[in-house]
Amino acid sequence: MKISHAGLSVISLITALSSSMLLGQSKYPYDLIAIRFCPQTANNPPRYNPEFSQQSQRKLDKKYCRYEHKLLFEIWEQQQFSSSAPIPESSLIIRQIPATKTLSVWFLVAPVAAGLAYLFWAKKTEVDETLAHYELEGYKTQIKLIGANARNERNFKAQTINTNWDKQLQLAGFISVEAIQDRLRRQQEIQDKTHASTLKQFDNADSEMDKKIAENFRDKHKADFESHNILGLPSNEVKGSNNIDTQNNNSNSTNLELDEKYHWLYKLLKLPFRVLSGEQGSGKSTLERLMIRLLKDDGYHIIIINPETNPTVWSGVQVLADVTAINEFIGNFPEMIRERQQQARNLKIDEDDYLDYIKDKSGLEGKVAIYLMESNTYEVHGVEPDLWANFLKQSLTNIRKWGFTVCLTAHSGNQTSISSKLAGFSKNIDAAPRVDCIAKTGSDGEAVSSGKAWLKMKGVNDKEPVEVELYNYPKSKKF
Amino acid sequence: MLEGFEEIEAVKENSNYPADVDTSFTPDEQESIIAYKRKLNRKLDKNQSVLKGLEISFWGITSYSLARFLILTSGTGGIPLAVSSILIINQITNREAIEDLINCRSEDKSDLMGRIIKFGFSTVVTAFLMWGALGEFLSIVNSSKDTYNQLQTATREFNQLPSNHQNAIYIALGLLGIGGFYVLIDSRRR
Repeated sequence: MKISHAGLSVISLITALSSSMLLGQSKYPYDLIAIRFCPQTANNPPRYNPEFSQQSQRKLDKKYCRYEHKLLFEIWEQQQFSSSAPIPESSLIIRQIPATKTLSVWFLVAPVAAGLAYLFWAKKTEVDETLAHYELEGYKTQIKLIGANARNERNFKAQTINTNWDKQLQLAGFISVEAIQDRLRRQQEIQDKTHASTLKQFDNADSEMDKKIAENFRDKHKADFESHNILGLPSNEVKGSNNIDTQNNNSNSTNLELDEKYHWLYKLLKLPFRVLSGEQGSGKSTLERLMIRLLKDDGYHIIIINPETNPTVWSGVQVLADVTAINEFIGNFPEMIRERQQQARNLKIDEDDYLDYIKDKSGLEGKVAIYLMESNTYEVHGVEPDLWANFLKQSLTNIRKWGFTVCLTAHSGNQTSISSKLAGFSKNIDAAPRVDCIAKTGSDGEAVSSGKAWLKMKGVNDKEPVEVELYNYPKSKKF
Repeated sequence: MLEGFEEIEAVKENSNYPADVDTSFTPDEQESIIAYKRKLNRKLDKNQSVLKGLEISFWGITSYSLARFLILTSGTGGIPLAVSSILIINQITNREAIEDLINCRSEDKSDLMGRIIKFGFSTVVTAFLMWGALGEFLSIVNSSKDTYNQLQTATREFNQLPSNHQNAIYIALGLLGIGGFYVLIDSRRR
């Protein structure tokens, strides 16, 4: 049932007005009292004759008793009470006029009804506002529908008119039926071609997306595998890994812990200078990376000198690939050593305790490990031969106690080829400790690492080389 | 003039508020929608003003009825209560105007005159209400008091001697006094 709030409001207002102006009102709303003052004459018989007595009584009545005074009963009582000489009631004729019975409750009904009228109208206003909103939206929708119909109608009419014109032209002999058919055929052809090419575009976009998805999956697996290797989780947890050997990575700490069989590496790293040699693919680079990792774990700042590498693929190490930077660094190197010596003197530190002094420092202030990769190409790339020779000579001294260690990677053979100005010092390099990685022929004829190397502590001509096992470090350049 | 245009252009460029209306309606359709909206708003405004009127009548009916009720149930004792209830309700309906007049802390001073006029009107209405609800009763109370006084005077006059009798007594007493005085002086002389 629909409630008319406006109707309810009007009814309430009428109730309010009628109860306050009509139902609550009455003719005699207050209690009144009517009083006549009628004194008795004192000229009574037998002292006076009755005729005289009646005459004087009439005189008194005429003077006083004909008037009736009406006043509020409440005021009468109040005045009688408060007056010091109240009117004696013996000479008065008193008549009560009670108020006509009214229901003063109507005066309480009126405000409630007026309030209800207000509330009903407020509700009506609210409902009207909502309805107005919907009405406006409906009007908009109607306009939209009419607009759409009108557009369709226009298109339809245009098409009909065009067809009719074609018919008229054909009848008048301006164009032939064949010409019209030819035009239609060509239009159809263009439509078909557009359709086909659009479908091809969709296919193309699909395949591009598929490719991208596949690439992303591959990259994700690669990254997962590498991060698991670095973090040292068991390989069977790596999804999609091809069971590549990730042995000995049992610790969850970031520091790499090696097995007993690899402990020769720690001894090797304690030296100021060592050479890594071996054929292409014999595992030199893998060993290099492992050593970088171990030295980094030990708090070394790693500097890689390689004019043929891309510095952006490395992270966690300082890469010098630019010739000017390389020249500047190797030229400054002897000076750096002397600075540290001077520092030890100034601070009165024993030269054997200098390592302890710098162990908490980082960067070039702390312990520094220098990797000389592809060293036989330095002079080709424009590294100054004099600076380079001086650097090598300085490296062969006991630089370890000043916080430096150098690792030279070279292909097998005579070390004079790495520096033209080295002269007699090349023998010292040959005599330096060396790890000679052993290559073997793989299944497809390529040289691969045998996983073994000769550790020659007395250099190239060591008569008693030790065979050691190589650790398979992941192919990551992020340290 | 030119500067003004440039300023507008600059504002348009910097602000990200959409200056152009993004709509699928044609200007004609927009116009008709705006007209329709205006029509609806007129109806809603009418509703609002009726609501305002109902509110005022609510306060008026309430104060009148309350005053009458108090008079009828409590008599003269209800007069102060009735007057104060009417004044309090008048204060409720005019609280904004009163606050403005006293504190002057209204945000827009422009409407102050309108509020003063409103206050004046509602004060007139209040006076009318008071007269309608209480005037008759107050006059009855006053006339009752007068009537009582008249009655009291009448009884007092009746109990006294008529004034011409009183004067004769005063004259006789005066003559007697003068005679006595003469006798007293005459006997001393002898």
